[in-house]
Amino acid sequence: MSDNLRDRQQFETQKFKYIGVGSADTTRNEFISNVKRDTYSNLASHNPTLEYLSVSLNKPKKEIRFQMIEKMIRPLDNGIKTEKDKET
Amino acid sequence: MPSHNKLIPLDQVDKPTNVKLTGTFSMPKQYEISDDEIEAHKDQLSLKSDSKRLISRESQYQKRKYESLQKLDDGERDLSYKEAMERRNREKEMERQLNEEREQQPEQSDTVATTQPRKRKRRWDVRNDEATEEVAASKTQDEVNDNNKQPSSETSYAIVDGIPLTDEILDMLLPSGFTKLTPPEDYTHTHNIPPDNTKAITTEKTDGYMIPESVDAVTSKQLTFNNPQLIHEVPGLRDLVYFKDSDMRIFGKLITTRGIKNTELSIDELKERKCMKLILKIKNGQPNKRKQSLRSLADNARYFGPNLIFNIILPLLLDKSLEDQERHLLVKVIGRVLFKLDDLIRPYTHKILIVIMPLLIDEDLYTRLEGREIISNLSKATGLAHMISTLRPDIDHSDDYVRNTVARTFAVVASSLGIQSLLPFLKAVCNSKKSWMARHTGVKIISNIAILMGSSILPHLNGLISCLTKLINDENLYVRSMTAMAITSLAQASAPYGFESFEKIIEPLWESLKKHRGKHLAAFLTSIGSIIPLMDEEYGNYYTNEVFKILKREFNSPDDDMKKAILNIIKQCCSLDSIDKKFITDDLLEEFFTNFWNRRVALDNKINKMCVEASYSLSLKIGTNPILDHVVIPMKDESEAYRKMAVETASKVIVHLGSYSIDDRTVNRLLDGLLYSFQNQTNNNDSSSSIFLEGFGNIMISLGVRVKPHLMSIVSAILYRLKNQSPEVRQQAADLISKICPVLKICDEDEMIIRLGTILYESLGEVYPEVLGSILGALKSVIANCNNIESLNPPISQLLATLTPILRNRHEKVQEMTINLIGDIASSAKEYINHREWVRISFELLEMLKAYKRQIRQSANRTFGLIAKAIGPADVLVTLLNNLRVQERQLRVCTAVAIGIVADICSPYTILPALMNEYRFPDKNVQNGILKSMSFMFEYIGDVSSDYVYSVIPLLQDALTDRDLVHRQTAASVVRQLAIGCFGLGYEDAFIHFLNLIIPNVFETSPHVISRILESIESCGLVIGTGLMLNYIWSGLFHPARMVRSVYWKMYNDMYVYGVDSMIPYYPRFEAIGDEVKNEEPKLCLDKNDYSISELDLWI
Repeated sequence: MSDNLRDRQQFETQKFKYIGVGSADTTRNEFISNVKRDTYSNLASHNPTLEYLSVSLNKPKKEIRFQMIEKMIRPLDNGIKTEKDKET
Repeated sequence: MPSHNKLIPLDQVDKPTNVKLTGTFSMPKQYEISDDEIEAHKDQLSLKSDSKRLISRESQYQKRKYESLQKLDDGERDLSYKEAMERRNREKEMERQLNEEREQQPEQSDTVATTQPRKRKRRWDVRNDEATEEVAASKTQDEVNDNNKQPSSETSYAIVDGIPLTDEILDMLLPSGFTKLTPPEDYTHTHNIPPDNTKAITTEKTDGYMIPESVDAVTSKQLTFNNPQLIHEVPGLRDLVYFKDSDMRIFGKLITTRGIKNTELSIDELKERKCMKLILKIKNGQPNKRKQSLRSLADNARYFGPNLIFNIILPLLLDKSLEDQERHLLVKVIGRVLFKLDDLIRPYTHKILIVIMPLLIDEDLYTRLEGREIISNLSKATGLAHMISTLRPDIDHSDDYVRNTVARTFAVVASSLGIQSLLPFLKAVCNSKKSWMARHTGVKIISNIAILMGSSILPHLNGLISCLTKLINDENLYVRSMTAMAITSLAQASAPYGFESFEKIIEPLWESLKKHRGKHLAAFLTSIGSIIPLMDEEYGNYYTNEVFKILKREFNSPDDDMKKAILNIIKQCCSLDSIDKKFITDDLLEEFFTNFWNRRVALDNKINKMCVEASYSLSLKIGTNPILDHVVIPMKDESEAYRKMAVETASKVIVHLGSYSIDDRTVNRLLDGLLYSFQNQTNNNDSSSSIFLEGFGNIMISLGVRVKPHLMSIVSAILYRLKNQSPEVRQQAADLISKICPVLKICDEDEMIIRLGTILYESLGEVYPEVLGSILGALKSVIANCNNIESLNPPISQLLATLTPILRNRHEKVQEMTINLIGDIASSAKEYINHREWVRISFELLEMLKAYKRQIRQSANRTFGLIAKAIGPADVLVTLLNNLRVQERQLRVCTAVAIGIVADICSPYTILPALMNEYRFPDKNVQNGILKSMSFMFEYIGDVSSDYVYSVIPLLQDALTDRDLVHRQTAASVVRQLAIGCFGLGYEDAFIHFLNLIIPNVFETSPHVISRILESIESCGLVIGTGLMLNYIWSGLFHPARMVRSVYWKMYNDMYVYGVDSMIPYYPRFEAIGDEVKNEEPKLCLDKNDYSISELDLWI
């Protein structure tokens, strides 16, 4: 029982440092948004991948980087804005 | 207490040096014998139990916490801030009035009062005729009364510190002239009946006032159970280790109501009974019960409510018979309960603080830490505002003890809630106009914060210093000098940064240097001295010169505080760049040595230490020679403390600065002085003899070849002392030999080494184990430094034969030294010793593998390896493998380690076949031992293990599929070590195989097993790579069963923490996701959204 408690405490400290870790209560949505955030941040923070993307999309690196970071805000939206979002 | 103090006449007229003004009060010397007599009458057993009690170790100052017991016993809840302040004001007013009355009394009152103060001035042993007459007159009347009262009062004397205050003892204690008064007729003794704390709980529950039980009924009830020997078990609590007399006071209710069944009790009473049982079990129970009860109490803390719990715990914590362990446990309980109750704790903050604050001034570091933790949790739970309002009334308490503890508590609060939030309050306190005590406490809080938090005060340094700025010129002297001390601690905490913040207070500090004298000047000097190291060179130069002007003026001050301040400044400032070398040699040095290098300084331990430090600091600036020139003279002084100080300084200087610059004449004088001081040691306690030993040894090592002309006299002096009557002297001599043997070798004195070897060999019959250990150490050093082992006399084989019986010596030092010596012989002189002798010794060594001390086990293992290297692994291995069949676990573990070491030293291929063969022996212990030794072996041999991966697969395959849990666990740790060794060498196929066998074990619940299994999976993942590993994990992350999910997430989290970057290329492509996992039949409803990342599909 006490191990459970300690496990939970450990998990909480871990979660505090690393947002991407999960537990049995993690939902699919949470998991996928974490996956996508990780991926975007990875793409944005490695210079070679950024270069690759900028060449293939024919856009400046800064802009690609900015886009990636933008996408991290709402990763499950998939870049397509709904009507509601456009109004606001 | 103070009145008691005044009554005792001081007999310090003839010994003025003994005057101690700090708060220890004692009887006159000539009466101490009566104390001894009482001790002699005490039961030895009860004495022993007394020594365990905390109270027996507490100083007078710490004991004052028991005074606060009264406050707890009031039974009141915490007062509101307003009420508390009103009450404190009332108390102060009363105190003031009392003082006034006391001052007026002598004028108003008649004969009795006028004789009283005069009597105090008179020598206590001068008889007072008037008084004696008075006594005689009243005596006849008293005697009649006495006869009536005597029987009742005889049975119950007040007991102070274990001394019953009987008439005879009181006569000895008190000066003549006191008369014994008869108590009023309606007075009955109640002080020996312990307070009934259970009442506090019952009054909470009932609405009105309940008439308490009559005193007689309580005493008779308690007397029947008061004998601890009678109480072996309390109903329903079978697992108590003991039940003390004092426990009866608080837990008595459990026993007195033992007849009543649970069902007959009301809910509240039932709660109380349960809670008492739990706390009693935690305090007095066996370890396993303790743990259970602690958990259950913590879980039910909200159900019991804070009132119930703290009414039991807090009186316990202030009980006089409390022991270390009990206090630790109770403090732990408070910590746990605090966590659970959270803000419910608020009404009890003050009470908890009363109990916990004394922990902050404890001598033991861990006790202080415990206290700090509780207070910091408390302040987090209740919030800053509440803490301040609770502690505020005590901040200008007239009692120094209370203010001191409050200041420390505030420091802890500041460290847990942040200085920033406390700063406004501190500012207000430091500017308090009402009383200087509040300002004094405020400054003390700041000083304590600096000491407690160290360099983390830096961001708030400006704020803290602005609190202090005005107080440097406070009207009260104590506040001023406390401010100086606070600045000192702030500067020391923030060194070497933060000078900008101190800049504005330097001017006022400087001014106050001119205004103060003596002790207070010392405080200000120290504060400037501690700021100087923070300054840049230019500033520093100016201020150092100015400060040193004052220093030189105060050099011959007799005040201890001033001496300490001066030494402190010299230590801090002389090594700085800002000070000029010429200034020191010309102006400072001579005065320093005349004032501080004398016998009186040497006698004071603390100043002595500081003086050594200061001299060392001077030598850093001006080099070794000037210091040594001064120091060699006192080495031949007649005061031993002075010689010790000289040797310590010389050794410290030479060790750090080397001896190259010393001329031959100084070397002669130095060695002469050292030899003199070494030979004339009279004080054989540990610390002083180790100073001479270290000093002599270090200086000899540093001088090297230059001691050669003196070696003859030094060695003969040592040998002379080796034959001394006192064991301490012999031990020191032997230790010195082991230190100087390398020097003998450098000097090419081979014959001397051999002669030493012979004499040490002859001394092996030593009786005292400590000395024998040192002799063995010396022998080891002789063998290590001997150029030609063959020339040793007696020959090394004979020496080894002598060592074998010594190995059976029980003493740890002897064992360790012998084992190390044997190991050295095995590595350097193996060819001179018979093969059979080695086998015999390795048998003897097996015993050592289970030694209690870790170092002995380590050196035994090392020696095993060395012997195995000397005679080949086969024989040793047979012994070790047989050893795996014994019952004792520790022995088996140590054997496994030894096998690992032998395998490492003699190459694994000599050992592994034997191990694999032994694994076929159908015994669980043996197989397990084999696995364990393989795990140690793979750990030691590192990447060499890659050669043996495929050969151990069948064995591990068998082990990993065994029914036995521990078997699989150990096999998993073998795989782990193997994987770490093979990382990057490409044996993925093998490790995929292992992983397939290990993965099914992830559902084990035993904590040891699961952690080993997870570790081994993690290291397999290291070898096979993230991508493959993730394929194992995806399947379980959203499994319908919660248990599966949680384990798989745990594995995922481990990987995520260690290397999320490497996981990213292997994340799956989400084109659609299923429903969230629920506790029902999964439906096939796919979210049609495409969650893939389009950027990853780009391809050039």
